[in-house]
Amino acid sequence: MAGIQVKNLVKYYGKFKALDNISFEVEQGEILGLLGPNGAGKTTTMRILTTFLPPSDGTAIIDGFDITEKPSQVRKIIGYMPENPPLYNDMKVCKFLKFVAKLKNVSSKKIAEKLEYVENVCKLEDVWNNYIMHISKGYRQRVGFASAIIADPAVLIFDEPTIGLDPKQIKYTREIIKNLGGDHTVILSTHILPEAEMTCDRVAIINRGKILAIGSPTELAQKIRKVDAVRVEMTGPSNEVKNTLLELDGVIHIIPQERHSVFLVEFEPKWKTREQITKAALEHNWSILELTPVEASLEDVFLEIVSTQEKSL
Amino acid sequence: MKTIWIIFKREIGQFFSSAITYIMLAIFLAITGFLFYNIASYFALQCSQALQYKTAYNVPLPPMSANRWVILPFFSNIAIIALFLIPVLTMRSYSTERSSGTAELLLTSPIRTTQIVWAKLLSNFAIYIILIATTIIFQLILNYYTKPGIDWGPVWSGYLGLICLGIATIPLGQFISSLMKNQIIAVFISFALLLFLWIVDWSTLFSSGTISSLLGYIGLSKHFANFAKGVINTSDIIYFISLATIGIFLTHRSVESWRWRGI
Ligand SMILES: Nc1ncnc2c1ncn2[C@@H]1O[C@H](COP(=O)(O)OP(=O)(O)OP(=O)(O)O)[C@@H](O)[C@H]1O
Ligand SMILES: [Mg+2]
Repeated sequence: MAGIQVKNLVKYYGKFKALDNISFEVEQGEILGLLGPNGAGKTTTMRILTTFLPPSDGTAIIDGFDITEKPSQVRKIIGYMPENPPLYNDMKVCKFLKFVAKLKNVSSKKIAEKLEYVENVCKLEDVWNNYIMHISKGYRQRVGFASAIIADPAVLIFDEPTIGLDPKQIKYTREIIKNLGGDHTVILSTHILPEAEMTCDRVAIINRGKILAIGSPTELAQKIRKVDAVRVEMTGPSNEVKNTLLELDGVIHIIPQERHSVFLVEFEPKWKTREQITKAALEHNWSILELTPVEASLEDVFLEIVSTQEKSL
Repeated sequence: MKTIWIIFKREIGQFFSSAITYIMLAIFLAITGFLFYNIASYFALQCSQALQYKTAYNVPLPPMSANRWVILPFFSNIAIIALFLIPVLTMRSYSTERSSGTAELLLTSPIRTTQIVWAKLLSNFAIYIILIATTIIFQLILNYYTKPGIDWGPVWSGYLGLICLGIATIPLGQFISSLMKNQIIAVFISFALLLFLWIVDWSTLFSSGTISSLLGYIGLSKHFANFAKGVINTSDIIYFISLATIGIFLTHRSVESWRWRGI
């Protein structure tokens, strides 16, 4: 079975439980984002998937190979870009990438072609003949990226691929990753929500070693949402409008917006709040200028999940 | 085999791109040159004194052997220098892979631990051989200035001894390097270990019994001294090979343990 099946992964560092029974699946050709704050367990998960670290319990199947039983098979089909790109400082960029290509069994006939490919795709022309110790952080990141994709592995694992890049390069890298999806199964980690929303087909939110939610960005936003919100603008004195809105059933919060006649009304989904708002407007003889539902962004979801989990601890 | 060669080439390349290498090479040549000069001039002095004795008192000329007076002490000294040199060679093998994070590349690439271990062993060994080989110059000089030249047999067995010394101690140094993230700590511990192995048989001078005869057996210097004298014993060779086997086994174990224990 192609793709990745992660089954009940547990990882202890000494007595500290860094991963607590993590399970998820990635379909072939899918891009999955692991989204979580510092110390969530993203790197740990990736290190286990790439066979760099053994799990304390549980396992994962990558393209049909069990990471604990057939690690050497797994290493043949993955490309991995660690958090800190592992580079030999005393080598030139081109020499290093050639070395990596050979290590990953790229046939000698194809090496030149592959080198040219990564030089172009990762835009390494300017540093191609420089020693790695002399190149900047962003370029190190790009060389790390190049070494992950050079052997064109079926499964790609990127640990914070855009960290340290300039905005233009961030955008560009996200595009490359998006293009890699389809032919490649990709897992990437990030703390940046827009990045997950933009690049990933599905997102797994992870915190304190647990997967809290998983789904497409839109699904996730709907699934987790406990609060609905609408933007309201009505003619009528804003104070009165505000008080009227507050009296409606199910309303939790009224948040004044950019203009003082506009409010964001947060309410519990079970109440038909929009109908109530229309009725109230009619009663007061105000006309409604705006009444638009606001979707919770993944960012709200993320903050919400993480903070509720924190509270329940 | 191909993989070993790929990693081997990288290791050698790293070696020659590092300033430490050239400093080490320069220091090594300076010290060995200095030693050779001193030993040889002392020998020359002895020879001229012997000649004066012969002419003054008409006594027969004692046998003045360059092998005995120059080559033998020279080899003992090189062996000691090698004990300093080898930890410097081996210190970076594994420590830097861990501290710089490149272990993450090696361990997630489709290569086996055995291949890493052999590539690193062979690369250090190759450099060691190159360093040791430079001292052949001194033997040639000696051969040129002595009549009827030196006896090459003990010279080659001395070099064989140095090679054996390398075979036995490089794996130990690499094992220490695989345990330490810090190369400076690795160099000191390896040096302490090699020095201990070198002098441990001194204890047999003052005591007897099974422990001290065991210590006498594990000491490096006695086994090496036989080679320097031109005596090649299978038991000495077995000793060096055993030490190498232990070192390689431990290194392999240690690198494997990175996989299951984490780095
Ligand atoms: N080698 C280790 N030894 C002990 N604890 C560790 C080790 N590596 C990670 N941890 C701990 O495990 C937890 C998860 O770490 P991990 O690196 O997986 O987080 P992360 O999600 O990648 O965080 P970040 O966003 O900061 O990269 C953290 O609390 C961390 O301190
Ligand atoms: Mg991380």
